[in-house]
Amino acid sequence: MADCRTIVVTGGAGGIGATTVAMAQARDYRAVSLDLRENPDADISIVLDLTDEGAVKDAFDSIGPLVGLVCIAGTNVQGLVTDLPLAEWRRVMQVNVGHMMLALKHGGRALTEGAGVVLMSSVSAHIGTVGSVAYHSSKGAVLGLMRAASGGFAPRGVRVNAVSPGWVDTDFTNRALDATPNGEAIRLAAAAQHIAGRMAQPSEVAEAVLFLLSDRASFVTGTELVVDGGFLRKR
Amino acid sequence: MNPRAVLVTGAAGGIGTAVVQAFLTDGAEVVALDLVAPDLHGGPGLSIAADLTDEQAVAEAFDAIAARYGCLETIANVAGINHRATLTQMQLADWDRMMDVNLGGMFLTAKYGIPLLSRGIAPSIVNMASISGHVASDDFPAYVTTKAAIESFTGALSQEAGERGIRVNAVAPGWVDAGFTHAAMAEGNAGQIHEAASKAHLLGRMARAEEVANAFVWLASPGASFVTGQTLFVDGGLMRVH
Repeated sequence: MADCRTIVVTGGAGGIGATTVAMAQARDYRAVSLDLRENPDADISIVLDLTDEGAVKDAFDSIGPLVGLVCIAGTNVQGLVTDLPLAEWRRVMQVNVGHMMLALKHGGRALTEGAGVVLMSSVSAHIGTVGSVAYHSSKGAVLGLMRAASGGFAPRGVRVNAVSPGWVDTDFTNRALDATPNGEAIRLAAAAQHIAGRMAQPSEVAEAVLFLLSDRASFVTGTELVVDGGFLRKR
Repeated sequence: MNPRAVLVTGAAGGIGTAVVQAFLTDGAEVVALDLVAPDLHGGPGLSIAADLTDEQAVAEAFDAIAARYGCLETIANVAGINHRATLTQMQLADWDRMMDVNLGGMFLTAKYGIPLLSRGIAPSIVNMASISGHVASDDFPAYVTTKAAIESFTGALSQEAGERGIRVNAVAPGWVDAGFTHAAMAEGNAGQIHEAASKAHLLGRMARAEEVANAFVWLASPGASFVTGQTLFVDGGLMRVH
């Protein structure tokens, strides 16, 4: 199947991930989902723990050549610096950043000349909100990983970029808000925090991912594409 | 249904030509504007000769666009000039002209274009910034200053225009195999410039003009509907090299 344009999407069963899988398929990519949960609509859906190096290696070994790697999987935990258990901190780092390192380590060799890598960061890399210290830190780390990896992969003609959404209307966002005491008030205020006056739809984030994977972005590497409806500008 | 009209300033230049062609390929009609009426490369549209530092000329250009199309979907602000002079040797008139063309031109196209964009379907403005807004260039301080200002202008305009449903973004290329770089290579050191470009960019080369043009087309597209106030670097990783 080496003639297929295969991409891997981590977190491929989640809100942004499943949308990315579906939109990629509509553009004639063969999309593989790597996630804790199954995505029955993906061409291949591998259920695994992305922090398990052996499982990640086995998954990539089974897939073959890739024209794209999209790392979206992420988690969130609420907690102040002063009371966040170290284990919780480590789990967020392992899921949000560590899995991307593992995917680059074991999937990197499969990336063909001209392939693209997109890592999901967030406007959270640029701001701080009380109680989400691990998430903010992890998304900043994703930008560091993106910049570092862009140099390592450049000699092979592989581009590495990041996409940073603002608020996105997904189950992930809704779960995070449900876990916050004043979540409902935050949800109502979120729309007004964007110049666009609303949260992003997952498809608007996936469009940016697919642009960066495509040949149209052939000179775009080592950079961050912010898809935030003007959230950072408005603050 | 009205055709999708896209204004491209600096349309006669190297990158401007590629931007015109990219929007034509994307199915738009192009209003090509430059000091001398630009070639439309066989595509549908309008060719306008205007000096972007002349407010009356800009106003008349938009009158012509309004008469032809009644609305505007995209403004691609590509026009820009360069001037080689250190700050201590620079004439104020040269400094003022750099500000007038590179920044003032974008101000005027926004001032007169926003009413037409407001009638567009998914309107946006895309401004030509540069990595020069982020890294120093000893011989071109005025250029560096205008390109940094363009990103601040883009951010400020994204708020004001956002209230009218217009997105505003910038494209920041590294070195491009066109325009200013061609002029520099014409001075006789093309080999050195290619050598330097291969070291300056992670991808080992400078950009082709169409690679910069593709970023304009994408930022103007419906797919970028949640992207505003941003700068998209098309720099082959130049900003990451140190």
